[in-house]
Amino acid sequence: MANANKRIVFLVDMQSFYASIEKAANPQLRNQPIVVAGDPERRSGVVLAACPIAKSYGVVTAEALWQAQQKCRNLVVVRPRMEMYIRISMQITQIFESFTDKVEPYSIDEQFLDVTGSVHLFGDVLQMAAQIRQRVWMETGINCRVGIGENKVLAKMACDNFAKKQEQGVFWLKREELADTLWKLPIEKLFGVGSRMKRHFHRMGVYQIRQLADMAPNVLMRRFGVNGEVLWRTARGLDDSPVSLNTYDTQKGIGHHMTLPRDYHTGAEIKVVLLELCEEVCRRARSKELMGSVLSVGCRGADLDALNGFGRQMKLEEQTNDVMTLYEAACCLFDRHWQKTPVRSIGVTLSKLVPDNVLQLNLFTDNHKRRSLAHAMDDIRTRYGQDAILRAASLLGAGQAKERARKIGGHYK
Amino acid sequence: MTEQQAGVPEGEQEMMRLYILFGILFRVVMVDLGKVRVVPLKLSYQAVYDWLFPEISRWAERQHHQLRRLLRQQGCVVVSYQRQGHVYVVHYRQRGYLREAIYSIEILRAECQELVGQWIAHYQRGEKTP
Repeated sequence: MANANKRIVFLVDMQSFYASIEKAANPQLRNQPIVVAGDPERRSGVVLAACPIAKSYGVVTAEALWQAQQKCRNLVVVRPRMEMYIRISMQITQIFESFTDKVEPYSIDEQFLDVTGSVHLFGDVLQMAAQIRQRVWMETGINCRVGIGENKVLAKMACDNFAKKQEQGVFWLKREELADTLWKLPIEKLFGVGSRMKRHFHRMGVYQIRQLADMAPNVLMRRFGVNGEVLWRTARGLDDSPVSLNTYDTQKGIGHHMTLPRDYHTGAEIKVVLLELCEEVCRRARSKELMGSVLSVGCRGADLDALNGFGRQMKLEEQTNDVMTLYEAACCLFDRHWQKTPVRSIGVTLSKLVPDNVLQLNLFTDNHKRRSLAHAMDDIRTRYGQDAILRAASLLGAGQAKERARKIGGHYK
Repeated sequence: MTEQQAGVPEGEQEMMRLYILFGILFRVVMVDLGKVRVVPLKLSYQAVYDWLFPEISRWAERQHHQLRRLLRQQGCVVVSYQRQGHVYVVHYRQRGYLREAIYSIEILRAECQELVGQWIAHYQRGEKTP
């Protein structure tokens, strides 16, 4: 039985989420290697999910479809159906809500559950985890793995580093046993350490999580700022954040990013996409009744390397959620920093958000009229679809708005 | 709380899922028969339809009732079932506990298709229906 002061947090992760849904919905695919991948005809075919059979051929998530097909000749490629995946994710949330009221979706295929108050109703912790796995399997046909810890980071690391690698699919990572479990792992296995951070740590001579846990937090803070302390706390299994639906309520920025189907070479072409991104960002800002005063624009080249692009931000003269104001500023940033190199990926973010219930009047532009027009366009889109009303520039060859209206997050609905 | 009291045994959940599937299947097959009859074709296959569809439906209904008996023997009774958007929500009482099962419609459809496939495979092999 758990200590009365300790919480019990589960992180439930769905195995090959998209691929498992496709297999459950199409029994003929069950014994075949399948991948869910983007649109191969538009060169945007990357593997979004691969089933365990496909993975046994060496197919990995996020690789190009042609590479996956070279590894596995009889690979079945399924087009994504994002609406269905979102629906199933919500269905799984509904299943979890019959175990506890504290459910926090972390991503489309991962959810945190705080079961401290309800575990006694379902036997013990491990029995409850087994029941959750069983229900998800019976009702959706998806195999899930459960990481258990006394907080969210321990549950997450329990799932990623242990539960996923074990047949029974459940692992309880206890803080008092970290020395024998987590600390033995290489530094890149720590939640929050990616390839860049790994390089930094290797340069510091830190190769194992234990070494990080044994360091003084001040040393890490001097080097990495607040993130250094967060990593030290993660290595020690410390995290006080609650499992709550309101985690993402305080939004700091609204951004949109697009990977283009081909390299864009001219400023005129890129600016069409820039306008579409500004339109999307402002529409979302208006729907949340927010406006922002800091604009960031980021571009990357065909190899998607940050060195072949730029990421810059600027402070706007006044807070806005008006498309043309944002677009003019974005063009200004783009013209200043673009090195005339081909662009494959572009993003726009609006931050320093404030409520949009005040309007700065201007002698030279009718801001009130612009705002009314924007709201009218939003209403049309809400009622008749994203592509019901488009800017003329979006009908040019470079425009992506019409194509993206058929997608969710860049993948087919 | 013992394991038996706390959790639903896996066999019961599987039985419940099959009970729901056969319940849907025997109704759907008869609805499909009604639709197939009104499709204009060059020849008439009335005799085939009138034998095949009711045969599958009868088999599914038999399985459905058999599973209901087995579930009842184990203390499981379905209280309500309802389609809610894209899911099919079933409430059942299991030895005094009210439990809920939420099935995805698309997956239920695929599973029903599997059952029809099983029936046809058995029939083609000349075996008794599964």
